[in-house]
Amino acid sequence: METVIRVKGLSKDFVQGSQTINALKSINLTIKQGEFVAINGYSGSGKSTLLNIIGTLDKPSAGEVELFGQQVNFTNASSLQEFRSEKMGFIFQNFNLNPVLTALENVQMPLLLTDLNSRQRREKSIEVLNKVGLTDRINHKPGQLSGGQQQRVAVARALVSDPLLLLADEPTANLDSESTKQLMLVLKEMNKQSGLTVLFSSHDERLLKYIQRTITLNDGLLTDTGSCL
Amino acid sequence: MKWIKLSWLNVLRNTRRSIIAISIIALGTFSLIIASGYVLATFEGLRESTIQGGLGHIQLALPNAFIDKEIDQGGFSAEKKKQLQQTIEAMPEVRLTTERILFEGLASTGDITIAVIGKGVNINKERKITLFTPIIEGRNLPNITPNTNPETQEQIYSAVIGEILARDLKVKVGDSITLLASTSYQGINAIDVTVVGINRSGIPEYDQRSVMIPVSAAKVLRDSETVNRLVVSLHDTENTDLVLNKIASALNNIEQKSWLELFPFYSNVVTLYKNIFGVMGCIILLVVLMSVNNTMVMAIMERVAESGTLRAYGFTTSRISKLFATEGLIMGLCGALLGTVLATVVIVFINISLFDMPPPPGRSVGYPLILNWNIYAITVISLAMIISCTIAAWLPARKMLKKNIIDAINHH
Repeated sequence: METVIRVKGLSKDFVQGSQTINALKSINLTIKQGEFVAINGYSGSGKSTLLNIIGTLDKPSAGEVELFGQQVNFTNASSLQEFRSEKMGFIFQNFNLNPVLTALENVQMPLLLTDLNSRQRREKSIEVLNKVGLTDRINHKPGQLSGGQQQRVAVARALVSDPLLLLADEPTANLDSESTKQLMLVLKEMNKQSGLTVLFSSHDERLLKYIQRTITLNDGLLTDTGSCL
Repeated sequence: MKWIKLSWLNVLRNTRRSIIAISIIALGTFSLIIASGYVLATFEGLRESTIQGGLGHIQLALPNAFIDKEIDQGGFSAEKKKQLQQTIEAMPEVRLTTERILFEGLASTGDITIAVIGKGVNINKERKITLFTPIIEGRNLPNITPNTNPETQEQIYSAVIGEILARDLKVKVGDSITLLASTSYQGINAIDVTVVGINRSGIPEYDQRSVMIPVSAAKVLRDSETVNRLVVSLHDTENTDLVLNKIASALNNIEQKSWLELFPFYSNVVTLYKNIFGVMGCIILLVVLMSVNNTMVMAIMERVAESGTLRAYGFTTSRISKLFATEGLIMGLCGALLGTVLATVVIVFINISLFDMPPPPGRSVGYPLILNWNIYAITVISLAMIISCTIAAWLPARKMLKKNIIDAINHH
C-alpha cells in the first residue's frame, strides 16, 4: 500500500511569555493509504497540533512531513493551499458551516475553486449529500439542521472534492451517541468504498469499535504508533 | 458570478445591519448629489446670468482698448465692424454679434449731477442677449429697423437708466436728463435724452450708475461713427474657447476677451465653492467610510472561523478578502443607487416647485432654487462611494486574514 503520511522527527514548540512548551516531541509516524486512524490522547497531549501540521495548516518547529510521497514545503503558502484543495478534506469540531447557505450550497463551497460549472457542482454535491444520508435536507440551512446533520453536511463538504486524505479534529465532540454512530458509519463507508485515508483526533471512547488503528499521544510524545482493533 | 452570489448572500446574512449601512451610504450619496446639484446650478446660474446679463460670451475691441481708456475712445469703423461681424457670424457656434459704444460721463438734471457708466446699444440685438435686466417702470428703448423705418429724434434721444440712479437724480419716466461724455477726439460733448424706462439689474452698484441709450445717440455723444465694442453671443457657452481660437486665427489687429476674463469673480466663486464642497464631500465620505467599516468589521469578526475553514479548504487569503470587498462593493452599489434615485426625485420636485431663495450677496433680488442633475457629478459621487465602501470592507478583511489559520478556525 502506498504511504500517504510519513512524519520524521516532528517537533512543535509554542512560546508563551518566557516559557517554551514542547507540544510535539520528535514524532515518527507512517500512515498508509486506506487506513482509518484515530489519534488518541488526553486534552493537551498534542493531537490537534499533530493533525494541523499533517493538514499543512501549521508549521513544525523541526522535522519533516511527507504527504503522498512529496515532502511538504511549509514556507510556500500558495502551493500548500493548492495541495489542500486538491488532496485533503477537513472536518472540524464546530462544523464551521456558513449559516446563510443551504446544506447544498455549503457542500459546493470547495468546488468553487474547481473548473466545474454550476450544474456539475450541484450534481456532485447532491451525490455526496445522498451518500451521507441528507437527500431530504439539501435545501435546509444549518440552523434548520440538528448537530449530527450539520456535521454530516461538513463531512459531505470535506468529501465533495474527492480528497485522498480526510482529517477530522474531534469530529464527534459536539454530537450525541446516535449522531456519533451515524457519522462514524458514514466515514467507515467512504473509507471502504473509495479507499479514502481517514485520520482524526479524538478521546471519545464511543468510537473505539469503529477504529482500525489508534495512535496514542501523551504530553507530545508518541507512546503507541498503532494497534488494529 | 458565483462569487458575487456568495457575497450577496453574506450581505443578506444580517439584514438589519446591512440595511443600516446601505441607508447611510444612500444618505451620503443623496447629500453629495444634492449639494453638487446646488453648487453646479449656482455656477451655471452665475455664469449664464453674467453672460446673458449683457456681458456676452466674447467681446472684441481695438488692441489694448480694454486697459487703455485713451485707445478705447476710438473704435472700429463702420466698414471694419461690418467685416468683423460677417466673419464671426459665419461661424456655426455664433448666435449673433452686436456693436456697443461704452462710455463714462455724467448724467445731470441741472440740479443734480452723477457720474455714470453708459452704453450705446443696438436694442434689436441687445434684447436677444441681455435677458436679466427687467424694466420696472416705462418701457425699453424703442425698436429700430434702420432700412425700413428711419429713426426719429425721439427714438434716438431716449434712455433707460438704473433704478437707483433714477432715484438719486430724482427723475421719472418722461423726464429729460443731460448726458456729458468725452468725444473720440478728447473733447467734451453733451446730449439731452428722455428717460423712457427704469431698469433693475439686481446689482445695486450697477443700478446706481447705468445708462443705456441707442447706439446712434452714443455716436452723437462721442461725435464719432466708430463703435468700441463688438459683443459675440454663442449658442453654447461651452464653445467659448473654440470660438476665441477661431477668431484669433481669422482676424488680426483686434483684442478679444472671453466672459471669464471680463468677469474674474466667477473663478473666485468657483474656487470657493469647490473648496467648501470638497471639504464637505470628504466629511460625508469619511462618515460613510467609518460606518461601512464598522459594519464590515462586525461582519468579519463573526466570520473568522468560517474564513479559517475556507482557507483550510484552499481558498487563498486574496480570494477571501475579495469576497469581503465584494460585499462592500454590493452595499456601496445598493446605497449609491438608492441615494441617486432619492436625489433625482428630490431634484425633480425642487425644480418643479421653484422655491424662492433670498437674494445672494451683492444682489437685491432673490432667485428660484434650481438644482442641477449632472450625470458626470453623479457618476463621480457614486463611484467614490462604491470605491470607498469596497476599500472599507477590504481593509479589515485583510487584517483579519493575517490571523493564524488555526486560530481563525477555532475562533468563537
